[in-house]
Amino acid sequence: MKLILTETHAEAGTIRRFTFRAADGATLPPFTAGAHVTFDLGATGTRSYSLIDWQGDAAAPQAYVFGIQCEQAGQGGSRAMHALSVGDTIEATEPKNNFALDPTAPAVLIAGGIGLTPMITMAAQLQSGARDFALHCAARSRAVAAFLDPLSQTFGDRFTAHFDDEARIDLAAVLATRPAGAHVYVCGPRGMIEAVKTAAAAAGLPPEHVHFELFAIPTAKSDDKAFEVQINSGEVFTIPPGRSIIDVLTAQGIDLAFDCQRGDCGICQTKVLAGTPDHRDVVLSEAERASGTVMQICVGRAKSDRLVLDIDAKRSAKPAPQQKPHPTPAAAPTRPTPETPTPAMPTPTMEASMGKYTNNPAAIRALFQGGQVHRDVYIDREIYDLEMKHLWSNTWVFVGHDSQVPNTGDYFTTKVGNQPVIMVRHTDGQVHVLYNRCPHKGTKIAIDREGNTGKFFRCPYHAWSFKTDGCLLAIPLRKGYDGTALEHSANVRGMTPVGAVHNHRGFIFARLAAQGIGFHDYFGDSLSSFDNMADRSPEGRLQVAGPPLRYINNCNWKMLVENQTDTCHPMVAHESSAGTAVRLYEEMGNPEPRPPAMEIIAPFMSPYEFMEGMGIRTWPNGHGHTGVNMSIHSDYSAIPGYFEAMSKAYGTERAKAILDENRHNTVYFPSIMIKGPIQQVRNFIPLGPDKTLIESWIYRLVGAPDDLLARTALYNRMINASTSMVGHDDTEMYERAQEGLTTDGLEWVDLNRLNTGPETFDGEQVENGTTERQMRNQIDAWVKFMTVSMEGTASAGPIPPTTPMEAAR
Amino acid sequence: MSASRDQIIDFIYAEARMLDEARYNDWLDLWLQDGHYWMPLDYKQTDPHLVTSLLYEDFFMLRLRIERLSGARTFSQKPKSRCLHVLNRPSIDHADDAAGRYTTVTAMHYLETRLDDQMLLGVTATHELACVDGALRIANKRVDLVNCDAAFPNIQLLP
Repeated sequence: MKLILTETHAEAGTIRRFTFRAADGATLPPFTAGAHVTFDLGATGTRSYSLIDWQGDAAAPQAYVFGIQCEQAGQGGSRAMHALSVGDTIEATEPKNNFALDPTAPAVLIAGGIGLTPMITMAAQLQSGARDFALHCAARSRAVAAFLDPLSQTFGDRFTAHFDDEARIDLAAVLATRPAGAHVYVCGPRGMIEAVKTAAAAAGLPPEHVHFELFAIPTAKSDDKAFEVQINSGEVFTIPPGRSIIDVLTAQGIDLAFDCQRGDCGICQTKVLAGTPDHRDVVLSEAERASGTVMQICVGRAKSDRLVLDIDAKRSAKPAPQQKPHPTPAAAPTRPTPETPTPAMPTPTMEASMGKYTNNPAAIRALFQGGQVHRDVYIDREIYDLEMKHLWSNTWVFVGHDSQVPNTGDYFTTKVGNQPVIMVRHTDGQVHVLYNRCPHKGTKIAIDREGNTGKFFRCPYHAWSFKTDGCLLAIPLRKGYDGTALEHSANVRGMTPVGAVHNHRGFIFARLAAQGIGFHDYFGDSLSSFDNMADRSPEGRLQVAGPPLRYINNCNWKMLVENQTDTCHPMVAHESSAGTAVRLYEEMGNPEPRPPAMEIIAPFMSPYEFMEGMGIRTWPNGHGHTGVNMSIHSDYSAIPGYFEAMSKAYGTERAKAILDENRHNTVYFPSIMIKGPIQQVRNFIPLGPDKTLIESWIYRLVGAPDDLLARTALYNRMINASTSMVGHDDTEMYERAQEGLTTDGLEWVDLNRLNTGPETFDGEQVENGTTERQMRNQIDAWVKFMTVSMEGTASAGPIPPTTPMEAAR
Repeated sequence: MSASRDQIIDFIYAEARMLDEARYNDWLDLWLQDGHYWMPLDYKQTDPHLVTSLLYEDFFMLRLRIERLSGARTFSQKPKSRCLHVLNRPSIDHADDAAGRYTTVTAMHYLETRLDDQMLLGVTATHELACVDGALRIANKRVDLVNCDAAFPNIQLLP
């Protein structure tokens, strides 16, 4: 963001106060005590300064205020800041906090020199929260100590100044008078931080109650020497004074994960295989420092002439396994199996255990009898919650297409059932699907619909970071968890991956449950519809084309899924659009070429006879499609150049076979319907028993003429948009049904069309195109995957009072 | 053949009023037959053809849409929806008096209601107008919803 300097004011010594506002007059992002902003000083580099807030305005700041000391002997950062004039603008990051305050605990705040700036904000926050605290500021002399008057005015006797030339701060005495349970926060030069750590340990403070921040970027020491770094490939790099290991290696194209570059965050922590590191971070514990086996390569240097570091010579242009390669076999967990069991999905803490369906498989089975479905399947809240827990967890659910995440670090956020997930391209090139929550406090890691996260996800709350396969990368001040139960909990492993992920021809599916049916066992031969859609590309692959249509229907998700193979509704419900189109066209005298809309919409008025001949095929587990013999998509006009491209790729005979397959709607139960000839996927995302989000995606046939994609886009907006005059009538029917089912006149929905006898759904079958067999097939699969993971599946529970036959009497 | 500033601005208000009063045949008469009514799906979308839009309708489609609204078996319009456009004063962003071509940009609140539901959309309408035989006509119209990427319920009339 761009900031404009609106005021500067000389404080003591070489310290000035700087006040910035947003250059475009916009509201400034809020910040928390301890946060800093990083300024871009061009050739000088970047410099970070802590935000000062005296009033408790940090949640809605009018301005950003900093106290900056001009370091004449420094590297020019503070001189560049002091050279700014009122009215100058400067690029800066949004506030970031590596030094967060626990506002619920009493605190001792210790500042060295200009390190007092974050302490002012902390003190103000503690004061407004009526917490017990003491603020101690040490400076070389009274003359160079800034903000003395406002500090004593604001904080009264909680504030104590210490001057080296009068009486040096006595840390033991300061800590001896701390409030019970106090945390200690220290910001200042390294020497002071070390002194406080030593004093705190002597005073018996637990290490996790001591928080540090170096007040400046670690500067080159005058006696720094060049040293060598050898990495796993055997390559050796020379690190000169004034440049970090990260600087040198990244300049040579080595791909490294890092964030703060000042020894705070822990992300760049690297194993030391040989040599003696010179630690300059605040991440490592004393034991870790002493071991010499790990270091932070953003600030750390070497005491020996050479360090041998565990770094793979991976060049950023060429994605390859970053750490140990994690094999991603089909339908298998995408990272090493943890030693302790991971819950397949967050276990609901509250379940409607008093309801009539929970852990009662017999009651679930009794909802589908005699070709009829009990209305609870569509309207009951307990059933909906059980669907999310069982059905949408045990089945394979559509997530997205891999062309949405072409590059390493690309991600897309969506839901599987009611579970927010992130689909992300990991450094190994595989697409992973992770639950979208931080293992720390539950914060959603990504809320934008798509983006690139770089090499790792970073939680915006406390900067816990995760590799793009979900594994925990680093926690700031991680030593605060040493010896705690976190180390033995599932949370320490990072962002939880879903149970299993499979990529079929670019389409990504997930099964939330860790154990369950395999991908191919679940979909079987129904995958032929996906194959036909992808085969329609001369290159055999699809590419997502733009964002999806997104619309909300106030109905149960199954009403939409059932309608996909309902061939007896178009000529009725869509008469107002398709019928009117046919009539208008006739009135115009059937002009050629036909308006583009006619090609798409007129087939919706096809008679029952056509729909019967179209045929319906069902496969086990609830999958099926309309349009076995031909379909409403069969008569589209040829696109010049397309068949030629297909023949060249596949040979004429095979090309013809691919294009002669004109399947209408294929349902992949429970989550999607696809149209092969149109390259469309309609994704049904349940939001509640009576609310469904639908996303309608379209794809380019790679290598095919643009005109095909133009027809697909036309179809999508004409038929499926929230503005579609065809879709309006479907929505009307679903929503009327949702309301109608609440009436008590009848309790059962009838799906008996062409149901002439006992039927099973364990094999492939083709029938008359007006049958409701596919809807029955879906409900059969619904019962199967609702009950497969229910407790008491083997035992018979009570059956609900009403059966269809009773109701019919 | 040119139009005055007042004529252009009055035209934009009059067009909105025709939609609000459901005088759809009058509204259709405003259109040149090769025009398109475009409602993009994506913020600042530039391509109406190779990615999805909410609407990109030629004259045939607009005619069909209007015929359907008055049809006897238009179930989603039983009962009918009503709408209201509340306009900011249109800006004339481009004027070519010699060619009789004008472009206006108009911010609007669009309300659509049916039964107990009412929806409010923030809309920016861009009209390309042409002066033909002394009368202003719509050559093209683009309607950008400020929340174009949100999930919508049915939008049945014309924002």
